[in-house]
Amino acid sequence: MNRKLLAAMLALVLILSAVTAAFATSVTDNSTFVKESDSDDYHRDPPSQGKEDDRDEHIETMTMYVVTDNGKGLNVRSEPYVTNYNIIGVAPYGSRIDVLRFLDNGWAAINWNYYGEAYVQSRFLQWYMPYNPPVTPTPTPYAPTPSPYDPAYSDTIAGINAEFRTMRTVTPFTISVRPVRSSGWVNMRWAPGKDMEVIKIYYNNDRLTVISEGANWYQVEDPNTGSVGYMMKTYTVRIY
Amino acid sequence: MKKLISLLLCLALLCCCAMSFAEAASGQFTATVRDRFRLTGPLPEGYQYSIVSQDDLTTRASVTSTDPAAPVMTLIISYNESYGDVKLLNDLPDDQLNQIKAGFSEMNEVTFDLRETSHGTKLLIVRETGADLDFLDFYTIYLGHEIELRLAPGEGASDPTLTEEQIQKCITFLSDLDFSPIG
Repeated sequence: MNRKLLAAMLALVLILSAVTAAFATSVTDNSTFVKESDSDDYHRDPPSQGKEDDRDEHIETMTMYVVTDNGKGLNVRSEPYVTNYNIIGVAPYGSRIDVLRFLDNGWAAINWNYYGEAYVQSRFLQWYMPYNPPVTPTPTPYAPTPSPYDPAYSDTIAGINAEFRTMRTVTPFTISVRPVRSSGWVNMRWAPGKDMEVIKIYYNNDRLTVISEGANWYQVEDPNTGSVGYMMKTYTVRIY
Repeated sequence: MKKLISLLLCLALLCCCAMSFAEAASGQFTATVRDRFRLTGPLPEGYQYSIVSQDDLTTRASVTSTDPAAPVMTLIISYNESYGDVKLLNDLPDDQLNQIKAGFSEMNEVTFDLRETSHGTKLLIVRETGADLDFLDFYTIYLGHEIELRLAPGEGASDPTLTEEQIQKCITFLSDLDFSPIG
C-alpha cells in the first residue's frame, strides 16, 4: 500500500515538473519578445557601445552649447551609458562644449577639461549659445507658448507658399531628430505646415538627410526608406 | 483502480490550471528598462506587443491588435538627464509640469487631462485632434525616465477618430502597468 502511494506521489511530482516546464516554455514562446538577456549583456560590456566599435564617421571637433529642458546642468560621464557611478562632472546650462563626435546611440563624445574624452547625451547640445535658461511659463491658465519661429500664418496656404519660396537646395547633410521630450517624436509632413498630413513620425536620435532648407523647415529624406517630406528645423540638430 | 482514477482526475485538474495560467501569461506585457525597473501588466484583449528597439537610453515597444482597424499603441521609455533625480511625475512642481505641457506645442489642438493610475502614478493625458487625425498621448516619469504611450487610429481604420471604448482600453492598460524597480 505504501509502495503504491509512494509510486503515485512520485508520478505526480514527475508530471507536475513536466507541466511546469511546458508552462515555462509556453510563456517564453508566447511573449513576442523578451530582451532581458540582451539588456544584461549590454550592461555587462558597456564600453563596446560606441567607444571604439560603434562610432560614427569622424568629424572635426566642434563647439556646441549645453541646453537642458529645465535649465539645470548636464551630467558628464566617463562612458557613454548611464549608471550612478560614471558621472565625472556637470556642464552648466549654456556652457561651451568641445564635441569630438556623435555616437549612434544618443551620446556625444566631448573633450572634458583635463579628463580628456568624456560623454554627454547629445540631445542637450545645440549649435548656438542660449540667451537665457528656459523661462517657466505661467502656471494657470495653461496655454501653449507660441513659438517665435512659427508665424501665426504658417498653417495657411499663404504661409506654406511663403515657406516654399524660401526653400533652397543644399549640399546634403545629416540631422538628428530632437523631439522636445526624449520620449517624444517629430512629424515628417508632406508640406511645410503644421496642419499638413503626416507621412511618418521619427523618434529621438533618428537620422535624416537634408536636401533643401527653408526659413523654418527642412526638406528631408529618410536614408533607410527613401521617404521625403518636411520637418520643422527647431526639432532637429545638424550633426554632419 | 479508484485511486488511479482519482489520481488521473487530479492530474487533469492540475493541467487545466497550468493551461489557464499559460493563457493569462501570454497576454502579459513585460519590458525591462536598463536593469533599473520592469514594466509588467496585462495586455488589452486581442493585443500583442513587440520591443521595436532597445538601447542604453531608449526602449520602444509596439502594442498592436490583430484587427487592422484597432488603434495602435507605441510605448517609448527614454532616460532624460534633466529628470535623473525625479522618481515620479507626481514629484514635479507645477511650473515644471507646465513646461512639459508647453513641449506639446508642435501639435495642433491639444487638450490636457491629469489622472492617477491604480498604482497612484500621475499620468498626463494629451489629446490632439485635427481634421484628419486624432490621437492620445499618455506621459509620465519614472526613475528619471520619460514614459510616453501614443495611441493612434489603426492603418485599417475607416474612421480616424478614437472611440471612448478604445481610449478606455488604453487607459486601463496603462493603469494596470506595474512599475517595479530592480535591485
